[in-house]
Amino acid sequence: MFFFSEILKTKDVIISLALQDFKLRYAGNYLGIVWAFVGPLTTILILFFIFQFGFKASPSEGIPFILWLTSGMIPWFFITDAISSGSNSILDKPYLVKKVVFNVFTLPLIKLISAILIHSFFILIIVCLLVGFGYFPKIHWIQIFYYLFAAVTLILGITWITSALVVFIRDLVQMIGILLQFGFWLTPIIWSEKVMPEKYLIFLKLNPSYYIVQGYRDSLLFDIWFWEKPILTIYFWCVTFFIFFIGVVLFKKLRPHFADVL
Amino acid sequence: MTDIAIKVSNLFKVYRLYQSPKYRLLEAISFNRKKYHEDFYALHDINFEVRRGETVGIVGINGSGKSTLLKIITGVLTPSKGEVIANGSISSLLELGTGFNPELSGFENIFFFGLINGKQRSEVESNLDEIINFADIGQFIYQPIKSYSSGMFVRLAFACAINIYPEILIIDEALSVGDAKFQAKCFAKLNEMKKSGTTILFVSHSTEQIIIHCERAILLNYGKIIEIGEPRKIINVYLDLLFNKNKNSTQEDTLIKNNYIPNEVEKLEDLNLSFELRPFYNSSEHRWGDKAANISDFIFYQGGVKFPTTIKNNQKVYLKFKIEFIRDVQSPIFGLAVKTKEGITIYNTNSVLQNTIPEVLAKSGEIWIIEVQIHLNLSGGDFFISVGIASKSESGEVIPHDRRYDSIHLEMDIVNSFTGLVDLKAKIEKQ
Repeated sequence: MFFFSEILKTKDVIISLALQDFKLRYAGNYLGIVWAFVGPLTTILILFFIFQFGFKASPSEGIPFILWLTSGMIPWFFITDAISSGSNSILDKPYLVKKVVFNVFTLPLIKLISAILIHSFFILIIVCLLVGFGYFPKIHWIQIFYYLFAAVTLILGITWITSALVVFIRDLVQMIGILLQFGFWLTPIIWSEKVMPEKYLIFLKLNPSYYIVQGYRDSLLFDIWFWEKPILTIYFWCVTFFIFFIGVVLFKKLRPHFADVL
Repeated sequence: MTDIAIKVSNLFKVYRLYQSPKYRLLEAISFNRKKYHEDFYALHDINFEVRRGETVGIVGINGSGKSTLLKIITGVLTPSKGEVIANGSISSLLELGTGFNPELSGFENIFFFGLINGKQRSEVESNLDEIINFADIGQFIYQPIKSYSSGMFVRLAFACAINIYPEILIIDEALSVGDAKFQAKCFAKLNEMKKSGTTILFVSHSTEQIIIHCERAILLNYGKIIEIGEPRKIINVYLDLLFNKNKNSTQEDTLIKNNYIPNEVEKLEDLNLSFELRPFYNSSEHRWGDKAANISDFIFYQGGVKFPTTIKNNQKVYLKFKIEFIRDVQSPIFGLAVKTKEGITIYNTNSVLQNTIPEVLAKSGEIWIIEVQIHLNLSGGDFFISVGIASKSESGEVIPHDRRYDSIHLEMDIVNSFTGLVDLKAKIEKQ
C-alpha cells in the first residue's frame, strides 16, 4: 500500500490544499463561504415547513421533527457534496496533472477534507439544536466520529473510482448528479424506514448510505451503538472495503493516462 | 553522486489515437488486450545523457516531440517504453504554465508553487521579496492569475521556478513570451545558475539562444533524434530541415572523383589543396547540396599575405574559391554570408544580387575560380563565413549544389576604436 505512505508524507500539502479549496469554493461570491451553509439550510427549512405545516404529518418517530430531519439531512449533504466535488477533483485541476509532478491520488482526498470542514459546522449546528431542544450531550454522540470515518472511507473509495472515470467519460458527471438524487429518495432521510414493509427493508439496507444516515440518527437521537447492529456493520465494511479496493486499483491503472487526455 | 544528471534510454512515447475517449477507457480497463487505437510515435527510441552542470538545447520543428520529451523528463507524462533517470531535484517551466492555480492571486500562487514543490512556508517567505522583484509585475501580484497576460504569467512562473533552487531546470519555450529585457534578465540568471552547477535543459525556437547558451544541442524530428552535437552545427542542420524539407540527399564522394576531369589547371595557381586542409577551415561546418558542383578549395589574402595570423579590420580581403562542376549547371550563382558566432547574419550577398556572373552554362568538368573582395569592417572576435554555389531550376526554385555553412572561421584582430559588431566608420569631431 505504497500510496498511504505517500499520502502521509505529503500531509502538509494536502491540508494546505484542502484549506485553499475550502476558501476558493465560492471565490468571487460576495458572501463567499456563507453559501455553503445557506443552500443546505434552506433545503432543511423548506422540507421542515412542508412536512410540519403542509402535510401536517411528520415521520419523526416521536422526536421533534426538525431534529429528526436535520440529523438525517446533514450526513446526506456531506455524502452528496463530497461525492460530487470529489468526482470533479481531477477535471478541476488539470494544471496539477499536466504541468507539475503532483501526487494526483490526493486530489479526491483534498476535496473530501474540504467537505469535512463544512460538515463539521453542520454537526455544530445540530448539536446546538439538540441542546436547544433539551437533549443534553450523551456518550452515544461520540459515535458521530465513527460514522464520519465510515462515510469518509466509503466516499474516498467512490471518488477514486468516479474521479478517474470522469476524466475519460465526462457524461458521468451528469449521471452522478442523477444517481445522487435517486440516493436521496432511496435512503430514509425524509421518510422513516418504519413505513417500509418488512420484506423490502433488506433492499433498503443494501444501500451503504443507509448505514451512515441511520447511524447519525442512532447516535444523536436513539442512543443505539453501532455494535448493536453487527450484521449491518459487517456488511457495510465489506462493501466499503470492496469499493475502496476497486478505487485504488482503478485509479492506479488509469492514472498514467490522465495527462494524455486532460 | 554520478556525473550524469539526466539519462534517457530507449525512450518511446506512443500516443494512442482513439476515435473517441470511450475507446481509451475500454482499452485501459479491458483484460483481453484488444486494440482500439492507432499508434502515433511522438518519441521514437530517444537516447542521450546530460552531464551535471551542462546546458543542453533541444530544437526541432513544431510537432517534433520536444515538449513531450521535456514533460517525460519532468515526470508529468509517463513514457510508453524506456526510462528516464534524473539525478537531482527538477524544476520545470512547461509551455505556458506551471502548477499555478488560476483563481489565486500571484502572491498566493508563490506559496502554492512552493508548497507543491515541497518547500516550507518559511522557506518561501525568505525568498518572497526576491521572487516578487524578479517577476516585477507591480500591483498585478495581488490579482488572480487568470487575469494575467502571458508575459506576466511567464515572469512569475520563471521567478518561482528558479527560486526553489533546483538541480535540474527544464524550460520549454516559455521564455520567448517575455519581452527582450526580461529575457536578458532570465539569461543572466540562467548563467549564474549554470556557474553554480545547475543542469539546464531548454527548448527554444530562437537559434541564437541555443548557440549562445548551450554547450550541446539535440535536434529532434518526427520524434527521432537526428543529431546531437555542437549547437552551431545542430542549428544549421535544423535550419535546413526547416526551410528545405525536400532537399536532395548528397551523393557519394566516389562519384565526384570519377567525374573529375581537370582542365585549365594552369589558372588554378595556388588552389590545388582542399578546403578542409586550409588554416581557416571550420571542421564543424555544415555542408550539403546535390553535388552538381563542389566548392573544393579557397584562399584568403590580406595585404598580400595568405592566411594571415590576425585579420585586420581596416584592410581589404581577397578570397578565391575553386568551383568544380561535376554535372552541367545552367547559370551558377555564388553566394557568401558573414555571421557572428551567435549565428546572426551580418552580411549576405550573391552573384545574382550583384549581377556579376554572366548567365552561362557551366559544363561538367569545368573549373571556375571566383574571387571575392570584401572589407571585413568587423570588431574583434570570432566570425564565420558561409559560401555556396547554387542555380535556379526552370520553375525558378533555387537548387543548392554545394553549401558550406560556417566553413571559414575568422579571428578578427581586436579593434579599440569602437565596440559592437560592425565598424560604421563614425567620425567624431569637435567643430
